[in-house]
Amino acid sequence: MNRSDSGRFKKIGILVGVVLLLGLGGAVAAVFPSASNEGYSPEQPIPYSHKLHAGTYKIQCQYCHSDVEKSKHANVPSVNVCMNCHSIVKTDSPYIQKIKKAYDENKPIEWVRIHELPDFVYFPHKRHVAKGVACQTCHGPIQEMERVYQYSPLTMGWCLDCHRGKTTPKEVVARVYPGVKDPKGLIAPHQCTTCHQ
Amino acid sequence: MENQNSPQNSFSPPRHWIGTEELSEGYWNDPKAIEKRGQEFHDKPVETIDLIDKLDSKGIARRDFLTIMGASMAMASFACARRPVHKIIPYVVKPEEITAGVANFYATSCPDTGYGLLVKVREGRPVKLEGNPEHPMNKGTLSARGQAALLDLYDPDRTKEPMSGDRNGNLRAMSWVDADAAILAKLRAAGRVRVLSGNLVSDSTRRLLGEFLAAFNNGSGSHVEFDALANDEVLDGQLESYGTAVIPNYRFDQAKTIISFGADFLGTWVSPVEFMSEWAKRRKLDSKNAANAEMSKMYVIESTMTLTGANADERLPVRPGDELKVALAVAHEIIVGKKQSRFASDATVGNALSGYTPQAVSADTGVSITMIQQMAEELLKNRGKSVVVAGSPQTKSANAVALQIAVNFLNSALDNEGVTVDGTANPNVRPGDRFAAIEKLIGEMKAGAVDALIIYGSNPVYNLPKSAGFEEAMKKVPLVVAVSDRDDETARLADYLLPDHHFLENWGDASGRKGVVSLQQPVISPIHSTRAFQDTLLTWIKGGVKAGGLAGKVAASADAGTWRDYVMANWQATHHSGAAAGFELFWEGVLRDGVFGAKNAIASTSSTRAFRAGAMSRIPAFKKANADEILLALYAKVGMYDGRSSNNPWLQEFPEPISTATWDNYLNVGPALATKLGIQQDDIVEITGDSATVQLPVNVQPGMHPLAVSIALGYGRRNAGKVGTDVGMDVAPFIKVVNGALVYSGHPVKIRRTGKVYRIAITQWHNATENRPIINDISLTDFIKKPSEANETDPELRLHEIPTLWPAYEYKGYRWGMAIDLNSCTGCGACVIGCMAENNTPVVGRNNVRVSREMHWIRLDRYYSGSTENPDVVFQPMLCQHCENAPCESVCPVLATVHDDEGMNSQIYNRCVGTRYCQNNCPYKVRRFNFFDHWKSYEGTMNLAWNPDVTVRTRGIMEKCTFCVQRIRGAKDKAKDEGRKLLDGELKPACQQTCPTDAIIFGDINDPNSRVSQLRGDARAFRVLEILNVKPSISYMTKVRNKEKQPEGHTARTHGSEANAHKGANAEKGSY
Repeated sequence: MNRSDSGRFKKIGILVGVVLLLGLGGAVAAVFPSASNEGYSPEQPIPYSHKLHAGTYKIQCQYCHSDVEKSKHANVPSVNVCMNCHSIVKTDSPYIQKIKKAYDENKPIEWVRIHELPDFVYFPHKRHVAKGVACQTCHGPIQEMERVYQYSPLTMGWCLDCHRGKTTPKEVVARVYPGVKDPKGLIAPHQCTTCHQ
Repeated sequence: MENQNSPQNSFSPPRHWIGTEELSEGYWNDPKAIEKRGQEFHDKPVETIDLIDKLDSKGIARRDFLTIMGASMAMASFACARRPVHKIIPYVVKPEEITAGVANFYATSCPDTGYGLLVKVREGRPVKLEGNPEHPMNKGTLSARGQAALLDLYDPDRTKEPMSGDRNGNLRAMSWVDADAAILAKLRAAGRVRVLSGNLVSDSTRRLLGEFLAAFNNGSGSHVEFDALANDEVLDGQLESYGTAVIPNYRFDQAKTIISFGADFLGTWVSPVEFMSEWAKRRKLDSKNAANAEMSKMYVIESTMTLTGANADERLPVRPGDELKVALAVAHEIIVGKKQSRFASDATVGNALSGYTPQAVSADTGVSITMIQQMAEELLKNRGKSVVVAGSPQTKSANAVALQIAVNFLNSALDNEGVTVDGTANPNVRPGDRFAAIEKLIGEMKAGAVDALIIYGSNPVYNLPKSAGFEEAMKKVPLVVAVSDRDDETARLADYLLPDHHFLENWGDASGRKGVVSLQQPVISPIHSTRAFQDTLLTWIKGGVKAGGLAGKVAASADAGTWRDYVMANWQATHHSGAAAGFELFWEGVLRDGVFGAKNAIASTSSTRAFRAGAMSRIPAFKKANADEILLALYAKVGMYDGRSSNNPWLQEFPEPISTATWDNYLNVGPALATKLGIQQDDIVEITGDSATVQLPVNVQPGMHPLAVSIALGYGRRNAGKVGTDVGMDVAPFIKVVNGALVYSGHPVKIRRTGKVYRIAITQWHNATENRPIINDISLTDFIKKPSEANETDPELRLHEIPTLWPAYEYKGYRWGMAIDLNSCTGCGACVIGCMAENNTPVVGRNNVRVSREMHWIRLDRYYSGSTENPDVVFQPMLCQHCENAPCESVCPVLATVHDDEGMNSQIYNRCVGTRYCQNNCPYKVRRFNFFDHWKSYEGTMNLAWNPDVTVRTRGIMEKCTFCVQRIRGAKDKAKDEGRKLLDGELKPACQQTCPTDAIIFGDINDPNSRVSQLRGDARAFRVLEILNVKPSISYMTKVRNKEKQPEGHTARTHGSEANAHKGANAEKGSY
């Protein structure tokens, strides 16, 4: 083997290395897609329309998501809440009949979870609502959604952008820092333990 | 620091040591030994580490390892799948009181002790037990066993439906309807029905049982209560001394002098949680008022080292059975020597004491005359302000009742009766029936005079020795029904096994003490097809009435609906005064508070009982001990107790506070006897007594009398479940039945080496401190003289401003800190289990403990000082110190452990990549690494026990104490809602919450008025390894011993500097 041969092998080696690295990168990207599930919009057992209820009829979000001010969870309502209206309203719809059946048979409805944070994240709805963050800030134009989809990426960077003041809604800033025109820097808790415990 | 370990010209061992090994020069000089100790991480798989595991015949280690690896591979290959679809399943009709994500607390009671509980319930499942602060007995705290009771509820080995059995261990499932029909038919035909239950603290259950027995067969039935560790001898002694068979209430908070003859009242005896809190009241010190500092002085005379002995100011090791001689020698000194008390001229008393001169007893037992005289003087000095107690299985020798009489005599002679000994308080806690009643029952069974036997909540086949004949007698009974939570040793030999509710699934009431009654309510709907025993009784009574088969008087209970209705009716009749209309409100009130009649319960109206001098004739004449015999004592461990919760992995892996051993029992042998027998730690020996032979590994236990050995009860369960079966060895065969009493102690044994070795999973050597200055103690006299001496004992502990490169942190809001009072810490370990329950800390199994992979966030360190034959003990709960300049933070390459703005050192699991640099760099060795996915060992229902507010950690992640950050956030959340700052004491981490002695105080050190700030400024406060300038947020308060004399080698922290420590210790040998 002469000198140039060894040089060529070296070049080939580097090339192979680069290709392998690229391939590995691609594989990693394929295996670990973005942590975000933005746009996720699964079919639900009952095609409940937020557009109709929250948009057209302007029913308060908290009528159904009644724990949002009390708990970390913005609860999905129990069947009896649906029945408050639907024991009278639109009882001829097959979906309403499905709800009535669940209610009568005491079998809960299994909704598909859309907004899901990893198990090591402890996000409280309660504190955010108390600070005046609107539902739409994170959940988007929910009152226009026929079928709910995930509006925000719900990634840590996205959370921190708001906590650091980059994307914080003006009305929230005004409410939390009354009288302060331009609060600087970190405007909400940003310790690791704020969300991870 | 390192040069301390280099060879010295004149070797002097460390003042505080964790095992006798540290007292030998080789430990410090042998390079091989040093290297082995330095191996903090065991990187090889468990099975390849040198484990000599001969008793472990099943090869569990390997199998578990492969399972875990297999599972991990499966996980790895699923990683590229899409995110799993999760469902949200709301209630159909949401119960009004439930808000998803918000915990409810319900008050209930522990049916073993009558303690009040608060159960944290999330979405209908209990996730944590805490003490009910309203309850006057346990005052909001719990023991390690109390904390662990939660896991029993979710035990996957519970029996899930009724079974019929062939009396040979083969059980077949059946329906409740079939079981009731079959049993009822036989019950109605049966003439003589007997119920054998565990000890009951429920008045309603007792009453219902009475009605059940009255209803069937002309009331010819009877009920016997059996508790393996019942205090029969106390009842007998009280009966003979005062004419009433009660277990008195001992007021340790009123006593300036406490003498315990074997009674482990801080660990396992009668009502430990209550006794601990009362005892600790006289162990609190205020350095500002040090000149007037007062502390109780406790003497413990015992044959095996217990928690109580470890906390004694003066501990006197004796042979099992010699407690009596020492007690009588003290009495002799008071009555005959000093001619004190009204009994000085009593002939019976004089006769009984005649042989027990301090000289004779001292020569026989090895307890010095000075000590006997000192005890007598202390007692006389504090007449009416002292208390003398005796008890626990290790004192149940043939002379157990005589010991009780001697103790009662002392209390009466010293005017303690009616003051510190309250014979009217009558705690219901474990009085049970005495063994004589069981013996009578066994006799009847053997004679074929029992037609039906119902066994409820009791396991006599395991707890009694075979020689008691219960198992044989059971065969003669035509119908045996066992009501139990599992197919245990007894239930497997029954015709029917009717699974009972766990107490968290059941109604009931409890009366742990006269005047204190509490309610028990279900906090979860029954998980399995189980039924409350009481509902079973009601069903049978009703079934009997309906069939017209009840010849006896038909009790009111036939009309009662369910057990709950019965309890309500009983309460309305017994506890409710006033109009019936008001009862519902009353009931709701008691249910909410959990306890009734709490306010004035403890300030009992005591009256003095007269001691019957005639009882002293029961005292045997003085007899010299056989100086060659080695005597065996059986004792109960703080965690395992009598073995009833053997299947509870939290308790199995709970390091026993004294030996720090997990997962096994062993033979405790003193260092002197070990040398004499030529045995070492972990050697398997054969122990042969009159009635049994057993092979067990040796634990060399400092502080044992040279002729005493001891073994823990509660191990060697044959049918406990997957976790508890075949753990350790059953030593019940050593128990003898003598004159209608169970004799646990004082059996002569022969010990033979087998040449085999078994590694006990002991945690005491993990994270060894290599003689760095960790711990501090001082005598009371020195403390009074100069309180600041308390933390100046060792100049190396002190930090005198060191310049630092790090910028100081600024804390604008709270800054969390903790103070731990080593003086009131008894080492009971409630914090260890409380922490596990709160923080989802996994159990790792015996083999992983052997290679120091246990996961407990709180390590209960135990240090000895003084002579090996009779050392002083100090406990130190060691947890993350939340350093200001945390060494872990600076080495984490991924910023997974960071400082937060409230002074905490936070560990972020999702960032951690498992380099373990932080663990390596932690001077306190409090970081724990998940070598495996330990959470996967939680099967089925056990997964309901996880705390939903805390992340469950996966493999490859570091974890450690977080100061219960989830509780901090929860409390802050509540305070924010109410628009205020947190109040001092409002927020308690799990360890502080459950601490029976209030030894752990957590709070805001930015607030100069908070309790923790005050304590940090106290003269006793020191910070561990302060010299490192890591600035821990945890302060410890120096242990103060009520000793005249400064402990030996007081200022000699490092060996070589002042070489008197061991010399002094050696000089003490032989005359403790």
